[in-house]
Amino acid sequence: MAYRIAIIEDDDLLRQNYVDIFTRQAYQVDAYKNRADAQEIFQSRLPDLAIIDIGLGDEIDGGFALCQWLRQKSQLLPIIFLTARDDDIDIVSGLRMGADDYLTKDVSLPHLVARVAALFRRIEVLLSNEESNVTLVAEGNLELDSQRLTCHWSSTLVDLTLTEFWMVFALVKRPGHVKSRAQLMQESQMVVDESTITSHIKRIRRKFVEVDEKFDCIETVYGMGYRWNPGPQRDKRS
Amino acid sequence: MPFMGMFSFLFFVWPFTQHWQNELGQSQQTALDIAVHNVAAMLSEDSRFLDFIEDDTSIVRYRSVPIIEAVTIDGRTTDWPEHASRSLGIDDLLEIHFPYNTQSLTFDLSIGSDQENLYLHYRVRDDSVVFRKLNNLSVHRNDHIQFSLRDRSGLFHRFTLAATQPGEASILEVAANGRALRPLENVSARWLATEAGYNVELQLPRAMLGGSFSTLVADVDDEKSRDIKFMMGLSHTRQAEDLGRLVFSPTELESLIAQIPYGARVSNVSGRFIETSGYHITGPHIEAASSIDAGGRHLGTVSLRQTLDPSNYLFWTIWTQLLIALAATILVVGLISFFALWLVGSKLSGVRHLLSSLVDSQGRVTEQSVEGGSDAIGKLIRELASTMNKVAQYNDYLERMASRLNHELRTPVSVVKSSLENLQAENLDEQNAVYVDRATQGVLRLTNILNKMAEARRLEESLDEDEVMSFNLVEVVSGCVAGYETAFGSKSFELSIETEQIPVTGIPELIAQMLDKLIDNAVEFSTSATIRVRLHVENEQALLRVINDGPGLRNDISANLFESMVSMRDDQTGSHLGLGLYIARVIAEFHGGSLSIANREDASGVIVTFKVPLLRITAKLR
Repeated sequence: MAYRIAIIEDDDLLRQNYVDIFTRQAYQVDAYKNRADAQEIFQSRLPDLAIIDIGLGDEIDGGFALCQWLRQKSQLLPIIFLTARDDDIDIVSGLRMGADDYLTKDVSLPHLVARVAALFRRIEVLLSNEESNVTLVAEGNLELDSQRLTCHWSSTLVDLTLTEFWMVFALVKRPGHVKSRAQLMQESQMVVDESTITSHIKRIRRKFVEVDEKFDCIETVYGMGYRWNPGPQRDKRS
Repeated sequence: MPFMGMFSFLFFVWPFTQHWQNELGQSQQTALDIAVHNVAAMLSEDSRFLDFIEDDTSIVRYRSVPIIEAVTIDGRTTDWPEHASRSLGIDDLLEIHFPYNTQSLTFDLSIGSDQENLYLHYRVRDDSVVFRKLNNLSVHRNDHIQFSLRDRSGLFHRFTLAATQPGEASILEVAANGRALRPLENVSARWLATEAGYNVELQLPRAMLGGSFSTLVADVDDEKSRDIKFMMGLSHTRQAEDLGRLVFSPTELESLIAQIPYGARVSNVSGRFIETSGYHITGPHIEAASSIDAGGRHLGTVSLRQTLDPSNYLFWTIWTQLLIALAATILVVGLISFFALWLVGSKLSGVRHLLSSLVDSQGRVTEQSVEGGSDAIGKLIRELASTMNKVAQYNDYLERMASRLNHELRTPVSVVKSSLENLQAENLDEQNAVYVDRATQGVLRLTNILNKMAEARRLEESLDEDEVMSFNLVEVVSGCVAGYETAFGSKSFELSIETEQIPVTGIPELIAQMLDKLIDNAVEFSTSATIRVRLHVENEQALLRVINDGPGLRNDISANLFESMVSMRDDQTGSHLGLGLYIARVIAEFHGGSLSIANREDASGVIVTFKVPLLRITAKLR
């Protein structure tokens, strides 16, 4: 059975391109120009995954409203925000809209497809309850499940987005080894400007600190990149 | 400025004061001429001066000494100055009616005077003293004293002093024929009996005296006959022509002359003179002289002198007053101006505060409402504020437009990009694939431009004071440079750091971002394989220098390189917006530091210098 993907995007051309690419990937695609049209259909039937643009026509935050509306309908429905401006990412993060990932429109279509596939895989794992395929990375207090795409710190869930998950995953794979920004981008399948890596790292740190105030495992190596530093926590900066 | 005014004032006033000075000189001369005539007239009528002026030795002189401490009219000599006394004897006999011997009669006459009175003292040695009989009409048939004088109006008066017993003596005015007329009042006289004879002391008010005077002692020895045996004195008392002259002390003359408000000199015909110290004037002066005449006879000359020079009293009085008035005017005007300036200044400083508050440290105009007074400056403030608000609105519009443009461009770029990607998913023939590839390259470049624009905007948002921490600059710089070794394979980096600890405050990621920009720039313009990075401390500041070999900067552009959208790159193809050094500058200024760019001294390349103040605890760390 083909997954049903809903794309809510107000730009006709862009919407049509997304439809084409996902159709080519053998997904069933429904495209909507605005929130009202989408909600009308979603009332009767929810899609399997939603890709939502934040600004929808006259509604600057129409995407957020739709996301909240959908989240009320379903906790498990994967939602991806597609934004034109990367400062919207901060808004999404700050409001905790319940999106599973957010991507800028710079993202290349193959990467977008890969993300969508990853989210479907997570759903599948959750539904199947298969333990055997779990790829577990354990590093000190950290547990990463690459099948479920979940992250735990001291057995407490750290609510990372897909992008953030892959960045942590890339760092933890080789503890103590410096990952440059380019490497992080490559491994987390992001296509954004290098400088946004800094804000992603900041957000990740913040999420860990929320769980553990003393968290200091992600070290900045100035000029080179970042590394996972599992050893005794030492703070060079203070 | 006040001094300029003062000098120009003096310049214009000077000729007038010269004129005034001449006028004053004229009137001074006139006043002096009048004064000298008055003085001459006064002197010619005053016996005190006449005596001095006249050289006629035939005139009998009664010399009066100044009495400083009042004498008591008691007949005693103890309170008299010694030099007042003059002894009279055989040579001074005026009438002899009996053989004279020295025991018969001699006397010492003392004359003194103060401001009000003339004092006379007779110390008479007489072998036989005969008092006046109580009921005797005649006053001359006993020992007695006669004196005559002219009063101030020139009338002749003759007096006789006699006593019936020692003690109070009476003075009677007598007629020309010798008959007693009436007792003289307002005078006191005392008769004192002595071993040698008797003493008489009396006091006359000077008001009743002119300058002519005579006195004598008449001796009666026989109680029965009561005939006058001798008359002894300097001059006779019988008629006006007999009178001598009462002569006062020269110091009195001098003190009188001293009262004349000029330098004065009085000289007689034989050249004797008295002058005041003020008479000797070395500088320019005016002079007036007048002859002293009495009874058609030239007696002497009086001359007066008065100073006439720039230090002249009146002249300087005028000048002093002018200057005081001027100074007062300047002071008042100055105070008013000062107050006005202060008022304007304080208002202008309000304008300055407003202006500085209107634009924040990032150069952005902040919108705000402003209150101002109803005066011109208040209006200016409001006008300024309203203009600035308009500028702020326009600025805001521009900023939003740039941001919106960025946003709006992303969607069509995404359309192109996704379309190209869809196209690439199809099986394209080789020829078409080339164009799709080129289009993709173009879109990629466009995306880069959009990202760079976004970076500058995002940087300004990330300048968050809350993120500021203290960190070691050495760690950041050495880490970054190590990273550049791998990032720029074709270049080598020569890092020299003098100390291990250079603590500063700020956001280390931003410093790294700034260094990225400086290195990007250096690498791009470098013509050699080596980029040098130097870090050291100087004057409590950390100095970070990035030095590259290559062409120098044009003078006209170096100051502007840190501005937004200024680039010295020639190529039009790259995605350079000139934002790199602008971002670096914003970061430097956020850290309280500065960036400067200069050609190397030998023009072999360019040095970019970042200066940032050290953390205050530096001294402890080192």
